[in-house]
Amino acid sequence: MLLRYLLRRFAQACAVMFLLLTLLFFTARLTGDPVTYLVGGFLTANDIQKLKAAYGLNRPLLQQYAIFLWQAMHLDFGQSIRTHQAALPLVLSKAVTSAQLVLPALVLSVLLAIPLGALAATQRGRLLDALTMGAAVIGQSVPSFFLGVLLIFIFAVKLGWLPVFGVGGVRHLMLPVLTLMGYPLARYTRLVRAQVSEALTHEYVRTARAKGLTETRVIVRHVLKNSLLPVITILGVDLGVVVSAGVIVEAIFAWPGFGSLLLQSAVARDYPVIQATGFLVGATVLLAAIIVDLAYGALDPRLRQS
Amino acid sequence: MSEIEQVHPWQRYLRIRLTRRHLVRTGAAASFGLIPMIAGACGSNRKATPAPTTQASQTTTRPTTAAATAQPAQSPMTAVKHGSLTAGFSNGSVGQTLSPNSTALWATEFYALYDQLVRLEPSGQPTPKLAPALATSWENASPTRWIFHLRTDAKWSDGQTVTANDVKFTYDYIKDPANKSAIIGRVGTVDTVEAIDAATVAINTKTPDPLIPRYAFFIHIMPQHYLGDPKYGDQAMATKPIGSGAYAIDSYSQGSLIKLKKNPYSWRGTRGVDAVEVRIIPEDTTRVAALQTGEVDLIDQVPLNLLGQLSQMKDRKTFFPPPTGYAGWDVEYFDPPYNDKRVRLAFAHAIDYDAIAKTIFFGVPKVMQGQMLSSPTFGFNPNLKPYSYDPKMAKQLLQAAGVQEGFKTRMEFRPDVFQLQAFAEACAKYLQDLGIQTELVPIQINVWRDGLYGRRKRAPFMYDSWSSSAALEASIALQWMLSTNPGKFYNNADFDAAYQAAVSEFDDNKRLQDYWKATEIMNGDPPGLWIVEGAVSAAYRSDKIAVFNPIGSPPTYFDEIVLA
Repeated sequence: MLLRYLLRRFAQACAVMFLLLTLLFFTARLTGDPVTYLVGGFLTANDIQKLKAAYGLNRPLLQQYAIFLWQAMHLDFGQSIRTHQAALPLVLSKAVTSAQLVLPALVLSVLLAIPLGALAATQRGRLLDALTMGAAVIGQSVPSFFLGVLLIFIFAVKLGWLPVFGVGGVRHLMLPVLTLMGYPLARYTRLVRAQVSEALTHEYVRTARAKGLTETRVIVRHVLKNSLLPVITILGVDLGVVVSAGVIVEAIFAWPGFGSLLLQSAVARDYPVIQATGFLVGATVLLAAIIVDLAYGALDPRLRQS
Repeated sequence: MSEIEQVHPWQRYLRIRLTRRHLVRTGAAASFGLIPMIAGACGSNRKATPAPTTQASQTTTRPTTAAATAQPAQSPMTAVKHGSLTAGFSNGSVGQTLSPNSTALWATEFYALYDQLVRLEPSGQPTPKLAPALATSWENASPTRWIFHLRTDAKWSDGQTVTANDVKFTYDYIKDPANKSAIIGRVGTVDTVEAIDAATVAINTKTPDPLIPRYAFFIHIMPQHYLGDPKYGDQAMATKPIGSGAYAIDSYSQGSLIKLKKNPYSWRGTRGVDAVEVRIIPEDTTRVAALQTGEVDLIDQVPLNLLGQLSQMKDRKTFFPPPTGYAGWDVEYFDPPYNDKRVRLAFAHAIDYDAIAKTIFFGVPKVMQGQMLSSPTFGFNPNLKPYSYDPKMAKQLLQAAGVQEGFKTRMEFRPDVFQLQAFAEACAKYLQDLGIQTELVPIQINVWRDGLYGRRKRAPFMYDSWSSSAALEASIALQWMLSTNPGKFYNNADFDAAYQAAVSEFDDNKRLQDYWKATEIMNGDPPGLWIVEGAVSAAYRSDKIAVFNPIGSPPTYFDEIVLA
């Protein structure tokens, strides 16, 4: 049963990847080719044609597309036009660096949002609720570039506690991860609060309380378990959102992840890197969606049966 | 009242599609301006004033004329203080990889890792002269043949000797389009290169070219035994290069970190700092903050609005390398009504250049003097003056050319360039005062570059900043205005003749006269609006660095830096 489900999802994922790669191939070429971005100085039209030929960009578009698809099937996205390095390994190495920001930010956001949201829900209408929700509204509305610069100013420039930029130990991670956490932490806290508030009105909660369970046990064992499904749904979707926010955060903190690589490659029309990045992001989001579906089943027996 | 005046400022902003990078830059710059107010922790954001450049070091000056005979540049230091340096550079100052074939940028690390036949002397003067480097002397044997005599003590960082074959190999490699070298445009006039003997090389040109030694400043000599070996090639050069410069690569993380150590085989010896870490910090505000905290010792590309923050600090110095370009516009030359020179002259007189320099660029740059060359350039014409701000005359010129009130035009600008949006809006406002309605169109650098090379139809106004560097004289900028350029910016037979006379003339004084003639012709029939000189600024820790003479921004020679 599970195997059949997984095979079906895999087939769907392959179809989506094909469409994504096709879209990437053609849209990347809509605005032109990379030749004039790469070269400097005075060039004749003849020079430009020769360079296009050297990059294989003078071939018919469909021929280029066929070559691209064939190579992509073998996980070969060619060489970066900008750096002359193999595109997929280059993107993968940068993705690992990006993951050092994105994963802690997501995990910490969830781990903090659950108790904060639950606490706000149980204290609904009181000061703690107002403070938590006020902070959440600020967290959702403050742009990450502003938050990042604010944190640099306070913790690096004024207090001198943390480094301004770069990759290093845990101290280098703190400011960018905090910046990246701003939006998801606020979003998840509000979501958990809403879910827990709604769950607290259900009869099974009254039953649990009537059984004499402590309030903490009621919340942790019964309410939260039923409230987390939407959080998991959003988490899967948010992976892409946080990766996008990471592009800005990486730029602010000079974090050499694939966000800056993607930006530079897009500007340079570095097709192989754009395509390899699209493939990697697409594959990651599809994988996350499958994992979320499996997690549903683990958390909710009704879904497992269906 | 015209249309723009009736529109709310926010609506005007909304018309301009913001890029994410622009959003980050603007937001970050705004944040840094706002945060001190919120915190109440900072002093006034006082206007930046240029700090004096550090004293010129003692270097041998060399003639640039034909038959120049030069001696090796002398070290500026008698007593060397050893130590390391951390530089924080913007993306635009470093190469895509460590291979010189990867970019046409004047990347600082290339000048550390590789030798060139010549280098610009770090004299601190606005127009630096050529100094010997890998070549100790050079002469032109005939109008189409240059001979370079090489050092015999130069070695690659793997210990092998640098020979004339390496020089020949480098030029041949760059010239061949199959090698996809980004600097192919720098060897356009080179026909053949001969290694006469191990220490003598001849460069034969297709036409007489007095500028070959100057262009040699941009050609980083690469090792034949490494780049030419298929086992290594350009991929190896990208990350583990071998060069004969003062430094060798220690470690490299593309787009993040370049660690340099002394090249033990360098003929330059132990001068300069021992080790350099180049940290790539794309965002301006972060780079400035890193210098404030002392995490880096030297930064480039300081936005003019942030100079005030640094000049308040005792141990931080800001400086302005010689400008190599300008902020201005290419103006359509061929289509009506722009093909009437009175229309372009009207534009030139409609803009208050002084006001733009003071308000948009914080009073830092000089206004351009009625030509497309910035003042330190060889070829700059001191006899020309800035176009006067004369709206009345501008209107008369337009009327004489038959341009009606309410005429519409478009301006393409690059939002990724500092203050360009404000600059474009100011220029549009001046045109509006002439009765011309201007639509502002933001474009990315790749679209802009397609426009430069004539691969798309440009808007009637396109932002431009033709570089006229000290190294390449006026020709690097003026060549784009030739009528034979497929980019199609200009078509003036008198200009073509003056330009061709200049670039064929081996006598410096006569060449200068020819450049002056070319600029005078352009002044009366301008293909663009040249408004203010480029205002590039950098900063460093004066408690760490004693002597620092940047040639431009970049390059900076790390082996010329003296630590405090």
